[in-house]
Amino acid sequence: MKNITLLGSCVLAIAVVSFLVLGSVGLRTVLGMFLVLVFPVYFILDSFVKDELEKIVFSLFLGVGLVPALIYWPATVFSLRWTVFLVAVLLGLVGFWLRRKNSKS
Amino acid sequence: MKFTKQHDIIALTLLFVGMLVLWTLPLQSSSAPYGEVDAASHYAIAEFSYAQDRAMNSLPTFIDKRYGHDNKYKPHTLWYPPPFHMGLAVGSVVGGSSDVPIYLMNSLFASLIVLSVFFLLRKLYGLPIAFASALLLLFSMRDILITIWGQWPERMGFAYLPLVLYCAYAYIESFLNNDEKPVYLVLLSLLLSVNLFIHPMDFFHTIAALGLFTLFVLIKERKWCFNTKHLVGVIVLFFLVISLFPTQTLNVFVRLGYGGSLDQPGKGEVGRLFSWFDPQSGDQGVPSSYFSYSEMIAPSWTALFVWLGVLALCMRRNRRDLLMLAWVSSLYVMIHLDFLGMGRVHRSLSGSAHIFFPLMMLGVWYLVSFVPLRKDVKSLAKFSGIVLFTIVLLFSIAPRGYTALKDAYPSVTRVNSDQLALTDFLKGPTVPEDATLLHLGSLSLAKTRWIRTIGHRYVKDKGELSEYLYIIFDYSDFARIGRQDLIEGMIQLEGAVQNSSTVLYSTSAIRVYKQ
Repeated sequence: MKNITLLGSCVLAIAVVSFLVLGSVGLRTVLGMFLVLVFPVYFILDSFVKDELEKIVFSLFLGVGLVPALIYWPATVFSLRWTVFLVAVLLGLVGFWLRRKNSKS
Repeated sequence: MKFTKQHDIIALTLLFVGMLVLWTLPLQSSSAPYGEVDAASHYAIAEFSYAQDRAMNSLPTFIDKRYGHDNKYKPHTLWYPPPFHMGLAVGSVVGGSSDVPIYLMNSLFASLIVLSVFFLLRKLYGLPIAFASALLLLFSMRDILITIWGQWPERMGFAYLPLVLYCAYAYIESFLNNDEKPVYLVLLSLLLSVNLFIHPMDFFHTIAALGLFTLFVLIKERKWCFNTKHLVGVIVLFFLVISLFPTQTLNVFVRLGYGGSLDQPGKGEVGRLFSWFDPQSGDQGVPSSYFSYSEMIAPSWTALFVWLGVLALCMRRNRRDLLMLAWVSSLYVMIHLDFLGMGRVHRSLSGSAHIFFPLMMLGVWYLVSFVPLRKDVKSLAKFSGIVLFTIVLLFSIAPRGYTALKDAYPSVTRVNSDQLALTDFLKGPTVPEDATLLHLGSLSLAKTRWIRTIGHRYVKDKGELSEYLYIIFDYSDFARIGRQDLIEGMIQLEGAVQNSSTVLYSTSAIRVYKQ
């Protein structure tokens, strides 16, 4: 989390390019992908992985591969839209809890 | 030259932006779906899940009639593990529609290999080699073509190989330095599970690379390089994760039995082991240029640098070099499985650029290191060599990669506005969900598949009129390409059907009859 300004600038740059290339749908999709699939995993990995590049890359690859796996079964029963939202929030909370736990210990 | 972590993040962002701008070019010209028949099946699963607001377990009729038996373990269910298609559907959910978000997500997924190659090479050999290799991969014709043809999960699956190898390398390094970091084994296990979820062929490629790397390290170090307790733990974790989707995972292993021993050319021929790849004469679903190094990767002279890279690795043989050697050896193994009569080996050839570009860069790097120069000048010379080589190669490969993406599936090859309007009608209540329709006037099998996919009804492009209850007379493409002769031929056919049928849908370009 040390490079938060730089990371924020990079996401902003990606958001701007997404908008320029594919308009508001492109912007929503790319930012949504980061918010739902990548950021929650990044927060979780923050407690286990120290190297920033490793954290970014692993959260991207595990995010796009494992988070949809977590979404799948609940979404066969409940609304896909709500499941996407809930799984992202739950993973974010797990990441937040892990950080608090680590900062206390 | 000193590079910091900030440089790494900026380089990674630049590559991601490159993926975003370049690999979405086919989408920037038109939002209509494109790709060969495989693309339509992948799109169908994601789009239907989004449209129904539910993930599918059993296949809907229009998919089931074609793919119902592709899951050999449990027919009529998804034949791929769901994460790939769920990822595309998540794109639709956050993007708020199906067409652009699914293709945008797929473009990013398919080009993830650029980021994973960058990451691995950055960790092993530094920023210049990593960035140059990844930059060239952005324009890899083989990767671009396979993506726009439609083998979507296969493209994404390859991206996990470098990361799995890195995790193994990082763990082994920590173990041999008496500073064990089991977190890398956990990450390895999770990444390997995802690799199996995304595409089984890529998973076996990764397993081959991982096995060879472990073997090479064992031979070099002459000692066991894993904590057995940790190893057992992560194997258990791997099986737990893959058991999330038992019917699809078991399908992978059941299917292995089906393709186990094909009567392929090259089977049992020792000469095959000493040749890289022969162009296939049979129908492999790819053009002959697919087997050409110069047309798919880079000009022929660059092969010299690939060999130089291999030579440098063989001479030095430290652990990171063994990793690269294991990767290139695994490619050799995978594309020579036909010697044992196994698999569709040409599919594994699609992973060649991922290792060839890094090997070229290593070749250049080590070639410059042989030039007698002062130490401080030498590092600058190596860096300059990489920059020069990359620029020369970009001039050669970037234009064709860009053109392939920009000109992918021009107007008439995609579903047109008349056909899109037809798909809205097909989805409605008039045509039953289990109906099979004959599509007359189709320019290609792929176009009919797209109408089937977007219309949520089983539409075929071939057959006798008498075999079908529902017939689509589609003049829209013939009119667009100016083929009056084909239009007149179809008008005669329609005339024969008209008297004994009911018109269900009628526009100036398309009519649907029920016989």
